[in-house]
Amino acid sequence: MKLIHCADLHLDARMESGLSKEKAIERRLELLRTFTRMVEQAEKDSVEAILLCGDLFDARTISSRARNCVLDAISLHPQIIFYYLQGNHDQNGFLNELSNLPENLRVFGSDWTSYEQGEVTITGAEFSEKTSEDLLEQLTLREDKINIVMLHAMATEYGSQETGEGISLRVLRGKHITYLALGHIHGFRMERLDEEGVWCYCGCLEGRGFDECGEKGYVELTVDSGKIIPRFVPFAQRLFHKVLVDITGLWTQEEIQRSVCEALTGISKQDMVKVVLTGRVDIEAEKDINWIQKWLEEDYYLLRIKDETTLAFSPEDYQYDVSLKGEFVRLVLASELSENEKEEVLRKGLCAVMLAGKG
Amino acid sequence: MQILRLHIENFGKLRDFDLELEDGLTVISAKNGWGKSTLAAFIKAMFYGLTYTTKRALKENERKRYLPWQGGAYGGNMEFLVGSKKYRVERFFGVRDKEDTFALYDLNTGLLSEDYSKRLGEELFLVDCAAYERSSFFIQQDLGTSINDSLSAGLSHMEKEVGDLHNYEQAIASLETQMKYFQKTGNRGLIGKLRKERGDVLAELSECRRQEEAVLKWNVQLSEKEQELQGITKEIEALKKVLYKAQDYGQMEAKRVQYDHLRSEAEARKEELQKTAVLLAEFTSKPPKEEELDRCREKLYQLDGLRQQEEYARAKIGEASRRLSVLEEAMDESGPGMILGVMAALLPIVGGILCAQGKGTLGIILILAGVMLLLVGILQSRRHHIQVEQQKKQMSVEEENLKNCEHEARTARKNQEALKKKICRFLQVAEHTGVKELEDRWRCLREESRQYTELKQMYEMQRKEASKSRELWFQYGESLTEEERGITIGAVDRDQNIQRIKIRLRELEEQRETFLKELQGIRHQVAKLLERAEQIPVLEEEEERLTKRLEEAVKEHGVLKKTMDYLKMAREQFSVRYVKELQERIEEYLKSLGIEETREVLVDAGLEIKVQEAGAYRKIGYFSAGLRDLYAFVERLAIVDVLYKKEKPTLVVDDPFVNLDKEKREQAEKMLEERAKKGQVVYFMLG
Repeated sequence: MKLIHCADLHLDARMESGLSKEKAIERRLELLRTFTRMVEQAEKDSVEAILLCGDLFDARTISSRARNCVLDAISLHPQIIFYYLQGNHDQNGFLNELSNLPENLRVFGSDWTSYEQGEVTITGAEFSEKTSEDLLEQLTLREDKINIVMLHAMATEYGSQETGEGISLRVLRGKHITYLALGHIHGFRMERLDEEGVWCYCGCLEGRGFDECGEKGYVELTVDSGKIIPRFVPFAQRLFHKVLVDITGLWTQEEIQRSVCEALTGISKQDMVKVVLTGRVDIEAEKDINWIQKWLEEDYYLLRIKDETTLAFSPEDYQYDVSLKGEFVRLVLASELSENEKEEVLRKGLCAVMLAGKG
Repeated sequence: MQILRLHIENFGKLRDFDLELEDGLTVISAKNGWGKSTLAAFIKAMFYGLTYTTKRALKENERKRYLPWQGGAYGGNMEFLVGSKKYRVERFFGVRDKEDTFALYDLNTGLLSEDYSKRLGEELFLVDCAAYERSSFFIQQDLGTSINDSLSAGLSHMEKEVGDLHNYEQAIASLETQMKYFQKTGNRGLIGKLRKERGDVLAELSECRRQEEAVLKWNVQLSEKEQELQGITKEIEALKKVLYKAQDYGQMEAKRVQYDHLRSEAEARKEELQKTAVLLAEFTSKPPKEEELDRCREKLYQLDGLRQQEEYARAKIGEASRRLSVLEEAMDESGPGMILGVMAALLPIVGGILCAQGKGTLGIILILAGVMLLLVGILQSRRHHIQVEQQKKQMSVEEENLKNCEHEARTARKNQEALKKKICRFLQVAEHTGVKELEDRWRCLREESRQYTELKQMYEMQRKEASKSRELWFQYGESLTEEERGITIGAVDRDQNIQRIKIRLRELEEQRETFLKELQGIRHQVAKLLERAEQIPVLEEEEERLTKRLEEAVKEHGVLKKTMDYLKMAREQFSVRYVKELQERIEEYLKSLGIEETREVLVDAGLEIKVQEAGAYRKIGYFSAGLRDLYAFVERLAIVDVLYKKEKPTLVVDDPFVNLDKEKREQAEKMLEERAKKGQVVYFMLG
């Protein structure tokens, strides 16, 4: 028997990557499509159940397109049972608006609810104002069963004082959990819970910003001989990449561009890339990030250049400089500006004075 | 500070070159191309080293510019005096600054000194390399041309000499241009544009959020209304049921009668069944089955058949015995021929008589008849003989037949006895019981069996009927409500109740209609609002983009503003630090020349020197070439005095007085001698 563990789809969510308006709209549609692609893949792979571990939607209101897309995906695949556990973002009344739940949709409440799926028992509870403080302590599972527990929360060793903020892994140990299917964290992470089971964040299906770089997808669970074998399946249509390029010691625009190109080797043109220039650069080095941006942006779905270089600058060089430049540097360095501001002001001031000097 | 001597190993065109310098003024007569600039660069390099740069232009790349023409070690040493301490600095240069070597010796001890680092120039003079270079090496051409250039460029010679102050206005202009890109008056520029765009988006977003809030409120209202509607619908349905029940009270009664009827019928069936069960219980032992009895009947028939067979055999024995007797008797009797013979003999006699008596005809007839009888008698005799033969044969057959019949009778008798024994055992009677009794016994048992079977069948049938009847009763009972089972409303009450229900129903139906219309309106409204609300993510993204761009623009503008402010402050501070002192020094030098006592000099904040002439301050470019050179030289001396607070550098002066008339030149040289008393001066005169 096969199952799919997925979470944090955040359908209808706004994009946080600085995409253009058109591409942001396109990307939102891609998020929906990736969800339906996953369901189609589940059908091909004869998956019996899909565990949606929270944050299926993102906002308080859901577009009719997203609602219908999800409902169609569920109703068009009656052979697949959908287990939908609501997360902190699912405050949209999606379920309340349904007069009749699809027959293959199973939902959870603020108390533990269990369903039998073949040889597996699927148990879950949602965190809400109604959730009991000792919810985790109340969990009771049969030792002779294969137990999957669904939760949407931050898993920590000791949990958090506030309900819903975090769950304590300590409390969940020794409760005969075979697989703790978690949602909330947007990257895949799996670790052993106790001798009997593991806990796993499957991550989101598609990244939405440069803070969600790397492979995204779902976890395929194969239930065989009383065991669960999890396998992460990369499934995102596009990936986010953050590429650091150290341009220390480079002087010309050509050298910098070559260095950026080398760093981008192997990245798909369909992906979204953020190039971060780092290192110490001489004040007189040729560095025009707008030009690099223009030069590369058409090669990728999204390309952003961020300049995090610092000036290769030594205050001692200006200690005895009897010039406007020297006076300016000493004044700025002695000022109460923040270090970043000092750097920016120095960069701008010195550039202005030196460019003026060059006529 | 005083340079004592220097030795150039290799530096530009100078090779293995030694020079000793006097305290005060050292005058060297040299032709063009002697290497004055190289010497000045060497002295600078000994103090400051050579900077490393990737710039290819030879003019800007001193390391390349002064690479030894003939190769060899690149550098040299120089001895100098600071206070009472003598030092020797040794520097050799590589292609890159990392390859450079530096050593400073204390000549009093002969040991390496750590009094100064390789940043010797800065630490000694408290002035950086560029400022040192600008201020310690005086070339006449520079003075002249720079004044001319400054006139055309609107920049003062002084500014250029004291640093990059001449870049100030241009830098400020550049920063202002950049700032204007972000912000212009009248809220124009990128920031204004972004603020407006963001404001528009925020307004749109706010409207969409308002719509979203409205959607949520409408949804709550929708949910409440739907719940109310559900309540109304439920009430309507319940009332309809009650009304229906009330209106169909007769039917309800009929149902109850039917229910009672079914119950009594079920009970009656049950009673019948019980009676039949009692009757069945009366049979102490179960009678044989009819099939078995039928088989017994057949056996009885077989017994009767055997009996008849025996009787028949016996009858046949009697018959055969009788026929045998008859045959024996017949055998004993004479045949009919005798009579006929007698007759045949008599008749012709009689005939003859008669013929004789005259009665011929009759006699003839009797004679013919006698002949005829004779013939018949002969035939009869023949036939009798044949008959006898036949009778003998027949007797033999009959005897055989008699034997067979006797055997048959015996066999039948034996079979009868065996069969009867079986029958008696089956009928449970004594073996000697007669056939008739057996028949009676069989009939009795047959009757019992029939009765038992019939009862059994009847019991089964009754059981089914009772079960069916009971089922019907229960099912019907279940289909009825408590009310239907126990309806007790009186007719008058019922009518009043129906009226009340009808009124309430009408009210509820009207309410429901109103609710449905309201709900439809709300749903339509929600759908319309939702279209706007769905734009929220798009607008949020747009707002985020614009906010980010705006923040970046504001930050950039802020940085530019701060840069400009600090640049202005730097300029003011720079000016304040040097202007007053510079003015005093210039005035001192001019007084010492004794030629400008009546004129006032002004150094402005831009370190530009203006000299009063004909009631107005004029830039020095206004004056003759000789005066310009003189003013320029004075400015430089003043600048050196102002810049070097601690140790004064050795001034390398390359004949700056060529444009002066004799009188002024002497005055200038005298002033230089005076200046040399304060600090060492190397004065190159065109030889």
